[in-house]
Amino acid sequence: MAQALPAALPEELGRPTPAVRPWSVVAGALSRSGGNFFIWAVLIFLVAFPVGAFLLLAFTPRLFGQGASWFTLSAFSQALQGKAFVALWNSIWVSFAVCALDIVIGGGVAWLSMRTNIGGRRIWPGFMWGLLLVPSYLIAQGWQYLLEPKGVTYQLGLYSPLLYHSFFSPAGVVFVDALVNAPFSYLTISAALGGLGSQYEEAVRVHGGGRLATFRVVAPVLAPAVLASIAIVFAETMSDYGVASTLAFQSRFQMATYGIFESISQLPANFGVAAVLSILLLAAAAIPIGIQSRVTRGRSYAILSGRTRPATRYRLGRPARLALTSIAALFFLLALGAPAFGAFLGSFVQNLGVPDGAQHLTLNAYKEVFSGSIAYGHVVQEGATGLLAPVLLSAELSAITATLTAVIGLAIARLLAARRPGKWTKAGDLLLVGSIALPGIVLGAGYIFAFNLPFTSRVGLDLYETLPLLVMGYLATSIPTQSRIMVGQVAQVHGSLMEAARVHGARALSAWRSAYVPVVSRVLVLAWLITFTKTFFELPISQLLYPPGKETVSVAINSWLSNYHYDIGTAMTVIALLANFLVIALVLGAFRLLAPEGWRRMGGWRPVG
Amino acid sequence: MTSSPIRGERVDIAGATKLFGAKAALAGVHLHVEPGTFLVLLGPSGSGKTTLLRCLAGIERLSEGTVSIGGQLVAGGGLHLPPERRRLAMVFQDYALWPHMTALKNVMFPLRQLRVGTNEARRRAQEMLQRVGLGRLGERYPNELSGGEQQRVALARALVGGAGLVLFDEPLSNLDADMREQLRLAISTLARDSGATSVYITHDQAEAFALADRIGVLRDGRLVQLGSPEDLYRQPASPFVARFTGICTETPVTPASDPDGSAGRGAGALDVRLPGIAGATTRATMPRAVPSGVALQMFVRPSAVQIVQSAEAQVMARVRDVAFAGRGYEHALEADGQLLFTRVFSLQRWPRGSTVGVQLAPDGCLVLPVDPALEGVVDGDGTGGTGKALVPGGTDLVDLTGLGNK
Repeated sequence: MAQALPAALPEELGRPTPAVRPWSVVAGALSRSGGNFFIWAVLIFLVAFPVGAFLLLAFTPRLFGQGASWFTLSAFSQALQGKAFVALWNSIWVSFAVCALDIVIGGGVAWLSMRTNIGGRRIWPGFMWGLLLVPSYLIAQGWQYLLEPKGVTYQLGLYSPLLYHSFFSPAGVVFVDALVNAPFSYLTISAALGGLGSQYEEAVRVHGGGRLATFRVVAPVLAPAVLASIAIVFAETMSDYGVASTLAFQSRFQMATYGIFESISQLPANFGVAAVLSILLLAAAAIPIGIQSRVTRGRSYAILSGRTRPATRYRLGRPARLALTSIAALFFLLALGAPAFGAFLGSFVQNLGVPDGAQHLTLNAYKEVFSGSIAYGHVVQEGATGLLAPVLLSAELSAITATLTAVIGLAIARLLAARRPGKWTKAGDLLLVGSIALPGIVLGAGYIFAFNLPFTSRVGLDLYETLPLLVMGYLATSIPTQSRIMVGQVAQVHGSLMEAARVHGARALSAWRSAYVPVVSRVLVLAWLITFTKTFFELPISQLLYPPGKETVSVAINSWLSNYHYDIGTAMTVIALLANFLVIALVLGAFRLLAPEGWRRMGGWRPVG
Repeated sequence: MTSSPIRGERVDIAGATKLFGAKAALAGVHLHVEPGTFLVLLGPSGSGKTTLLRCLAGIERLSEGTVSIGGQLVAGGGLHLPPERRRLAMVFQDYALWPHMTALKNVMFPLRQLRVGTNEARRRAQEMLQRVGLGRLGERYPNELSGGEQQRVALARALVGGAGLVLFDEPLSNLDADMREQLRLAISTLARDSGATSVYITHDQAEAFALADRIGVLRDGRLVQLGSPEDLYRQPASPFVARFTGICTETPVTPASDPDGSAGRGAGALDVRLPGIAGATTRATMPRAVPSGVALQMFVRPSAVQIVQSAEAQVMARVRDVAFAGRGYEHALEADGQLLFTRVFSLQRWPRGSTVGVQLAPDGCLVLPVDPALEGVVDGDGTGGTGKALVPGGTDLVDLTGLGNK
């Protein structure tokens, strides 16, 4: 029977208490702090060191052997006059315009698909996710193929000089940026709408309020989501490189991200101006985020509770339903349909967009890509096995990046989802969130600068112009995003699942394998697929860091297009998209066929059978 | 107890301390559990019972102190055996069934860890599911089972491997009343039949009394009383334990023969005056000796209050509320506008506003010192203890609204 024991150590424990073993104390401390060490090591090596060194250059060029001064603001004065300043200003006003448009587009589609009986409401979210994964330069180029003087509309007899000139202008840049960034606005606002039950609206209506009064009451409840949408869309537009380097560049409309690229790709490279532009870009993107947090601080916008009932949908009349469904369909047609159509049809047109060439429909571009022969005198880099080489290389690098991201991202997500995160973990999380907002072009510039320093060579990091550096760049963009996305899912996995496995006899690794990985398998597969797709088409980092003779698919497509070989560029775009769809289908198919049934039931996966 | 296929493990905990930052979740707990005992650790939220259980399981690491299971040191002195090397099993509050495994596979898991062959593991798991009444639901996934069924699977998983120590982390707290009773019965019988030592934590005193061979009451990370359910009910060591194990009222009292309380008192029967009710006295029980000059408080168990004819009454009271309780009625009675007795049972329904006579049974009227310095760890029958001072103040769990005598 049980007894309370006296304060002294009981003799009946049967053996002397072993002395504290120093190694076990050290091992315990390491294992307890190991998580933080891991997060910080990843973030410092991949993000903080290269980007920090690069940005520091704006103030202290001598520290890096780039000038005579320990502290100077000369790079600022250089950057704040002429082209660079115009580029920054252009980026800012375009971003504001895109924000305004996207509240209407993203918020409108969110409200229509979640709160009305609009047609096709089940597929609109899928299209939004699709749009989120398609890189901005592909959408810009798709439109370009359509509207070129000798482009697809010309082939169809629909060419309009007015449309052409409107598109190749700042208005066209705003238009494409609004299309590609609408998903951010949609996702933010639809998440808030999803949690907002109909009780607020019902309360207004039963107390005599009309539709306007309902809107006045509900709109402030959605204010945090709208502000978040503005902050994200603004930051995304500011940091976008795809549209800036294609449509904006060809419209002679300079934007900040392209300004950074130009500063470091000119001879001699001007890293100082690039660093200043990067700092200003980051500062400008941070302003709406700061405003958002200031406005929402100290107020409760909590709308989710166990009592929240799903909202009822407004039943639209037949004409309204038809009109609004058509408007939503038109948006997706403009965002995805038209550029896809442009790219697809363009790939069959010989001399597409060539003013003095004879256009006709042909499969030649595909033959060129698959045979690897070079009909146009464009020099493919030495060592390439043909025009498919960039597709294969990108697939390989994307698979490596996606696999490493899934593994490292999951480990970091698990640390961040801990019940009692320490202050170092919280600080690591802040840096992680900051890294998400980092434009790819700034990261790429930081990598070129930092891994080209004599110091990195001296410590054995000879990574400049190597594929590992390119993969590191990809990882630096994907790990912060994916680990933050995974935190939400991982936090829902009760710690008791692992504890139950350990208590019932499983060792640590076995508990991970049998009790944890299956539960998060679907999240891992999704993280892998998103990372694969994003990396496959990634442009700014690839353009800055690809080693000679190792063009990635995005670099190759842009290279063909800038040399006016639109047909090869479009054919390669179509092949790359198909290759990407094939990989997605293969991975999802393999998961469906090979994973045990229990794995597939996790995270809302549709039950089988 | 039926003949047991396995032998329960002895558990020894000495000076167990667990710090979370500066806060001590456990502050030097000493506990010794004999093989085959069903021990319930009872305490409010934040008392340290969950932490103690998790330290015993090896999920949490002790800051100080030692834990031995079956005579083998598993924690302390720099040693921390991981859970899988402690030869125990556990039923979790949230069930912790692996959602990607069927009920059968969940139950097979501990057997597979013991290298039992697949067919044999399947046979034994199926047999165990049969015993918990889920023989036909083995192929279902956890999300296809009700809460009670899920907890039965968790119970089967904990018992199937023949562990000598089974831990229960508030396993009934997420279930409705009917399901709780059914599962309580299953836990009580199956755990005892297995022969394993059981350590069960709960904040529900009725659940603790129903299940336990022994109950340990925890407060602020310390074990404040350990004994049989009867000991705790009849001889609580402190006002905290008395309140936590169920009272219907409490009131300050003075000894009838010694109104200023200058003389010390030995344990046993004692006539007390109820200051709130003019001229009223009653016979009460003092579970342990009290030094002189100490203020006293009387704690009344619900079972000690009886509604009687006026002629036999010690106190007259007005019926404030009455609630149907199945086999009879529970009343809230107000005496002299001050003293509120709750949960007073009677087979007869007494209407609200009526006046009734109240008689108090001496063995259910417990007189304890209110000085927190006199509270201490009390072992067994409530007469011994280490005399360690506890944190002042008590936790009121009984509705005494309007009493004004706390």
